[in-house]
Amino acid sequence: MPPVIDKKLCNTCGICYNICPQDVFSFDRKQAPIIAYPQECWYCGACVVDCPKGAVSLTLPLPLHIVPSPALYGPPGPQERQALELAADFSRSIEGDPAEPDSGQETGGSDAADRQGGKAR
Amino acid sequence: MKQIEIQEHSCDICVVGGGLAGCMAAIRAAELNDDVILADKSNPERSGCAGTGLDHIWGYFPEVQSREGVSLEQMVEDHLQNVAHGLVNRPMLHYIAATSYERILDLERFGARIRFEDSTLPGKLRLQYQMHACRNTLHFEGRDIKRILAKAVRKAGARILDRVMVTELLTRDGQIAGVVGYGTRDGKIHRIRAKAVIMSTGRINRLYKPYPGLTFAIRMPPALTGDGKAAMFRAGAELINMEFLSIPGRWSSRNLIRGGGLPTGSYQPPGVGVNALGEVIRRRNHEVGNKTVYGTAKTFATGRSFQGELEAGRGPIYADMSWGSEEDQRYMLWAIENEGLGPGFLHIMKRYGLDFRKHKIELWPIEPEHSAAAAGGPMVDESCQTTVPGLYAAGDEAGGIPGSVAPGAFTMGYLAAESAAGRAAETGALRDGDGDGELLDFCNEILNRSTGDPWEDAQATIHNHMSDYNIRFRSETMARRGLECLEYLENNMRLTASNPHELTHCLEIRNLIECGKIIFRSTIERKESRGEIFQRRDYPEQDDANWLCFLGQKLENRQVRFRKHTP
Repeated sequence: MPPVIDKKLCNTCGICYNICPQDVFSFDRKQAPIIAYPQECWYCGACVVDCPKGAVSLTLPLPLHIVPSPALYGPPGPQERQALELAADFSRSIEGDPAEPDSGQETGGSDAADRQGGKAR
Repeated sequence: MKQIEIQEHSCDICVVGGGLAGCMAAIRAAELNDDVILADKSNPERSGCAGTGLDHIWGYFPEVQSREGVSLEQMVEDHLQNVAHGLVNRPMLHYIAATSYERILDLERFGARIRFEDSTLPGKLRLQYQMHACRNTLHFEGRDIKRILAKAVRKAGARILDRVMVTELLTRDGQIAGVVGYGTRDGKIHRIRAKAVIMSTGRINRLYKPYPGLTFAIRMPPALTGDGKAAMFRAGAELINMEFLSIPGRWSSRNLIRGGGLPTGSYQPPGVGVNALGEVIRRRNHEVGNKTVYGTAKTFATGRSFQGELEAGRGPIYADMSWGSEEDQRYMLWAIENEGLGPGFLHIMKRYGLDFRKHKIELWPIEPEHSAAAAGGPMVDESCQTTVPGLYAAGDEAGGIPGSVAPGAFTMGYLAAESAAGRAAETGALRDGDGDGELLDFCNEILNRSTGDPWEDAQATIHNHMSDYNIRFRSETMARRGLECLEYLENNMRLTASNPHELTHCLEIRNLIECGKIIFRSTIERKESRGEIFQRRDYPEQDDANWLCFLGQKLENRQVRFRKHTP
């Protein structure tokens, strides 16, 4: 059941039914909408975002679960901190001393250096 | 025998499809004409590719680009060579690049936030690199852009006809006379007479088998089934580029597929793409270069590709977005929250206990898509008019402008509205048109059939034929077989529907088959390969001498005709 409506919170306003791009709900204006076509949900989250009561949540069918896998993050060393600063300068509109954009050539950084945040230049 | 009920409407200008292009078209049309209808299969509040958001729009921002020494002409040339590979409607591309910023200022007027205190760029704009070699993609707060636009549509005075799927066009003496839609909830046929029609129903998203095995678990809206392109073809409009695929082998989060940029894209300063050994395959944005990199086998600056890592036995591939300062992480979450499908993604992450600091996200190449980077659709002139007088197309609906995406939607929607308003002002009384006979027969047959094939079976058959005959082993003989199989499906399916929702899906099936047949026919005709968007086994070489052109396909007296057009 992709969208799940908490009937205790639902105020039967019908917004989720009105806005759903996939038209998965049915609604008769007296009680909480019913999920008539659960298999047609796009998991876009429009119903979650627009519900004024926070009554809607999304439940994933098994094939769509993200199986957890630990990230590689660790405390940044000096080289890595510099690389992350360059990354932030490049990717966020903050001008100071932006990194020289790479044209796509191999920069020769070792994998170990990559893991520590990329080869600082 | 049951007959479907018909409801008549009329207006000066009918806009079909309420996504970014359709909303902008309806707003501008209603500013110029007080009799405008916007028909949407769903509801413009949350419909289309940007239904739950849009965090980036490219354009030419004079204050920033001129400082960086990039002229408008250079940016257009960059797009022409690197995004469109030389094959583009150049005047329209130029118009899009030149006026995108004006439309962005419209969005700001309508209520979208586009300026941010942390930016040190002129205008406090957050600008990123995306497809071009200069910083020209605005990062903005667009989660609710569709709600903002829908409000502006109503304020401008256009009438919104929601839950009406337009699937046929009416013509009279070769000119547009209106549209015909099906009420996805009321089950009626809505016949709308109009002096001018703007089509903006977007891409064709349900042709190819999705990797997760679930029909609706795809990157772009599954409600978009080529309704506009199929209708325009049947009405005699010439379609181009229909044989091309868009971004084959683009990577996204495995199974729970999202748009935006996992693992590429502009919004994750600290993110990297890694293999199973933890080796970095895609470095951080500033090391990769100015452009995002798409495609299965594309190598990154490391000289390695995700596909290559899988083939070398070093899969799976992950996006590791755990890096960066708290501020970097906040920025990334802000961007995801504002990009389409992002709010749902963050909601699901939280609900299932996932955290970018702690967890990598596994990546997988997603199913092929049509339109967008391939730009298949009706050929349009400098006014957005198709080859049918009075019929206009905007955004992803239109053919010939690869990578026009959001700015294409806003600018072409605006331009099509101006053209349509001009046309409506010059046109006399509304006229009755023809063209819905087959549609009415199709609906009535289904209404009177009690047993038969569910639409889901026909959908699965389309997925099989398109994926088997039009991706890996594309050739003339495979395309001929694909065409044969779609024609067999069309002639042998006996669709049933127990309510308007199911009949809507049956009509989508009809349009998907129409589009699939157009694609196979054009595939047979284009005897070459062209980059990653069109690979043929029997013609592996690019042949610019004969094929650096748009291949047009149209119906003339019920016969299919092809024509080459040099852009």
